[in-house]
Amino acid sequence: MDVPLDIWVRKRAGFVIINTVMVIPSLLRWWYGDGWLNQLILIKWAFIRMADRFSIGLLIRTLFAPFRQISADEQARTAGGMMNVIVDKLISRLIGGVMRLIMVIVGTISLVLLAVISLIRIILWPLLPIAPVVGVVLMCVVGAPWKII
Amino acid sequence: MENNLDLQVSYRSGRATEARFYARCGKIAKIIALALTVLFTLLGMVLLLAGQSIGWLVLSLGVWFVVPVVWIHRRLRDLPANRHPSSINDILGGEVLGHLPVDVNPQILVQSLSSTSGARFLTNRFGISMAHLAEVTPVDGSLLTDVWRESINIWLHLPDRPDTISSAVIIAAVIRLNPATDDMLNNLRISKEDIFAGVVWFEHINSLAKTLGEPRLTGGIARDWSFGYIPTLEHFGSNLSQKYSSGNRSIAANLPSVRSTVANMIQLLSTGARHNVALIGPLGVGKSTIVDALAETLMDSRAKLPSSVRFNQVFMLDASMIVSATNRRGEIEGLVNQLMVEAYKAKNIILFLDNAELFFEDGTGSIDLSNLLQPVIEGGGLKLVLAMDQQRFLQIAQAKPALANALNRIEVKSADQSKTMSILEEQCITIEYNSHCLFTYQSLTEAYRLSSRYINDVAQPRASLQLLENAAQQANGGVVTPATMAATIEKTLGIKVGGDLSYGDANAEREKLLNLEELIHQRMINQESAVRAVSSALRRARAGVRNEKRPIGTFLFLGPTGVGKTELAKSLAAVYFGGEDHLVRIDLNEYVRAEDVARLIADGATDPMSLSAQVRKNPFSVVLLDEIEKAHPNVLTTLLQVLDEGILRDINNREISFRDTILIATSNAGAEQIRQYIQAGYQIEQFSQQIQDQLISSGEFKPEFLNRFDEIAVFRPLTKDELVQVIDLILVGINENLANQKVFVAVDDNAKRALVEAGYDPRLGARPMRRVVQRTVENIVADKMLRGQLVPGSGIRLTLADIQESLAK
Repeated sequence: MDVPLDIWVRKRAGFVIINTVMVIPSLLRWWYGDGWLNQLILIKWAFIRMADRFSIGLLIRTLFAPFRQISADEQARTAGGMMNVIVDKLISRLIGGVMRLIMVIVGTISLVLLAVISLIRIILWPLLPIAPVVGVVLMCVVGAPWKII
Repeated sequence: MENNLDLQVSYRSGRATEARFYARCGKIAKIIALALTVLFTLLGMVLLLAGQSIGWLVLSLGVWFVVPVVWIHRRLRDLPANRHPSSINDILGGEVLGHLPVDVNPQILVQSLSSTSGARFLTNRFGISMAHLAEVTPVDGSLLTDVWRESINIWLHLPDRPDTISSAVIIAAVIRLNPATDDMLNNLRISKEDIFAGVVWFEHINSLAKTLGEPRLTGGIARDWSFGYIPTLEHFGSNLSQKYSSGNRSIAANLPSVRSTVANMIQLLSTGARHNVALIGPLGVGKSTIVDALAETLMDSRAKLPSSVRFNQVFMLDASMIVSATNRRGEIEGLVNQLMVEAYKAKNIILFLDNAELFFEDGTGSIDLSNLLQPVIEGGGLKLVLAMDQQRFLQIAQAKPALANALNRIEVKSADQSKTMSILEEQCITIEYNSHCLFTYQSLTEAYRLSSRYINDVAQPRASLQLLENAAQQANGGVVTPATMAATIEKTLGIKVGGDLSYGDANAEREKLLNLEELIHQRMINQESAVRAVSSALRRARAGVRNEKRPIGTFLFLGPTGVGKTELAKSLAAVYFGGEDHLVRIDLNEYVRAEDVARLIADGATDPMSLSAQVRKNPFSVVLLDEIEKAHPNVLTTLLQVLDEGILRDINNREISFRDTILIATSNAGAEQIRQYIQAGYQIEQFSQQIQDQLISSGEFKPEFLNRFDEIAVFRPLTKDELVQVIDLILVGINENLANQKVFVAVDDNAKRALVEAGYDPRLGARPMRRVVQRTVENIVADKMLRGQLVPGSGIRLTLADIQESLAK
């Protein structure tokens, strides 16, 4: 390096500081503009992925379909055989219905939880750049109401 | 678009500042902010737990540092274009803006962008030196507007157009605009169109990386609850959908040709009465890849699919596995029946019969289940996909027309150069990753050219991909160039591609061509007219005037026996292709019956000496067809295709290329007339045309056959003086052999004349000469060596007396 180290460090540090100061308006503009909108898109995708993971739409459409197609021989021609088929199918549909209903409930609860988390995320997003101000307020107003360690 | 844009770059614009920040300190700033986030958050929590209210402030600082981390990751890493662009600044990529200095001209632009990903791509893939490009790029700042305008033009024509202009686009624009880059491109054997193709490749890979990184929706945990159990199928079949059930993606499914075929298949499988598809095409066209892409598409929740095929799973059945599972025919039929019933009842299965011909004919590893499968195919209840070779399908269709009619056929054709290149550009990334090598663009185009020409048993794109995979092993972690491709063909197929002069030294080749007559005459005496005709034809061919779809040269040599016709062919093989082993010789007097055509085009496995097999092994060669007048007319008709198109179809209907051969046919027809003309004192040029006319009028050759040759060269009988020179050439050969013994032999001039007298036969020309010289000169030398009269380091001069004594014995 031809330039003495101290000058190089000063120059480099100066560059970083100047650039950092220059980009702060861009950062804030994005944070309260496209960044916030992006969060909504991300939340939308989180909902789609969650709904897909629990197959909620599919479960509702096939709520009373036989579970894994379990049933007796459908070729039966005797009255007893046909009765068996009907009973088997009924049981299979019943099992399918219960299983799917449970999964729909679990899925719905997960979606509700996701909705709550997403709402908090959207509300907190604009507060993040002013977090130190919030920190000072909490320090002064709430203090430290506990002492564990 | 460029008409509305301000083409002045602003160094101080918001986007430029953001881009520079990311280019110079973005990554390090992100790491520091992330570290501070973790540090302050942990410290704040510890302080709060310790009852210190300042913990709130410290914790909030930790949270605050998340802001730059998110901003850098979500915004700066891939700086988007402005939504309403008004200047070039708004659409230049972040990487480009981040590298631009305050004052910029075209040369500085190239220098600034030389370390960007786009420039590195063009350097690695094409061998373009950015330093050299900068050297030949003008410094006139006013030309920058043209560069931006051309960049926008290229960007607008990109098929996978990103929302910003990358450095690869800008460098391509600089190359396009600057005529001084032509030499550089010529040296690299690429054109400006190739550079554009390279930019398309670069942008496509970037877009692919983004697509493959996106999460995939595949139906979730309850996706298969409505479908049946399939234990037998799981045992005997292979589930192609399994790897896509967890969200994996394949590259092939993105190819436009594959996408359109898959869409067609989905329509056929979900509508109409017969839910089957038969993919018909030669081996290697990508039938299995298409089925794989179908399996992937059906697992995609977001794809617009009919409900009857959504989340259907594709199970491939292996005929040989089914046949080996049980011995008796009845049991095999029972098993296949069970598999089909299971698939039908499950309601979400598409059966895929790869190499479906194995299910319709009896043989090793195959069984004819037509009686079982035909009703199922005709009924249409079970969804079936069959993949079959074109030829085998035609055979089955002939034997079982009802079966063929019940199938919904989709023809899968061999990919053309453009499609193959797209596939190679995508697939080479995976091969590079696995083999730690790098393919240049030129190596990919060469892979297509060489595989199209020399790999005949597999269609494109498989042939090119096979070559790529083999070349990656050859490259052993290095850069794969066109030469690597040629070496791979030589090693894997045993074909001597090294004879391709395009791999050699251009200057050496030019010298060779300019001095062709001289080089040939180092090996043969006189026949000036024939040598000149052949040399001129070859010079025309190599100067680029030749038709690429015909052999390099086609010649008919006419003349009596022993005048140098074969010797000229050998000389050409040695001089032009570098060795007499590049001579493929076929005596057509062995092909006098119509059925001999089959021997001529026999498969290399059954007859390695057939014409087709020899040329396939040695495509850069002189093909010598001796005594062509004796061949059966059917044989000549077969050869007409070679003279016309440079292609011969072998017995398996595979194309054998003769486009890198010099084809020479020889004939003794007209020998007597030639002798008479020469004796009457005529020069060859004076009677050459008469000889050809006589051959046509006598019915020995048809005019359409003679007209196919580039040149018809007439050889004249050698005079006795010329035969003395032939003896000199033979003596050179003898002395080369004696060089190992460190002795040499010379013959007096009058002794040479005695040898000519003894060896000359008006009917056989110079042919007996070699035998006579061997019998005399070599015998004398051997005798003297055994007697100790000729010791290493010494020589011997044979006199007339020595020769006469030897001849008398």
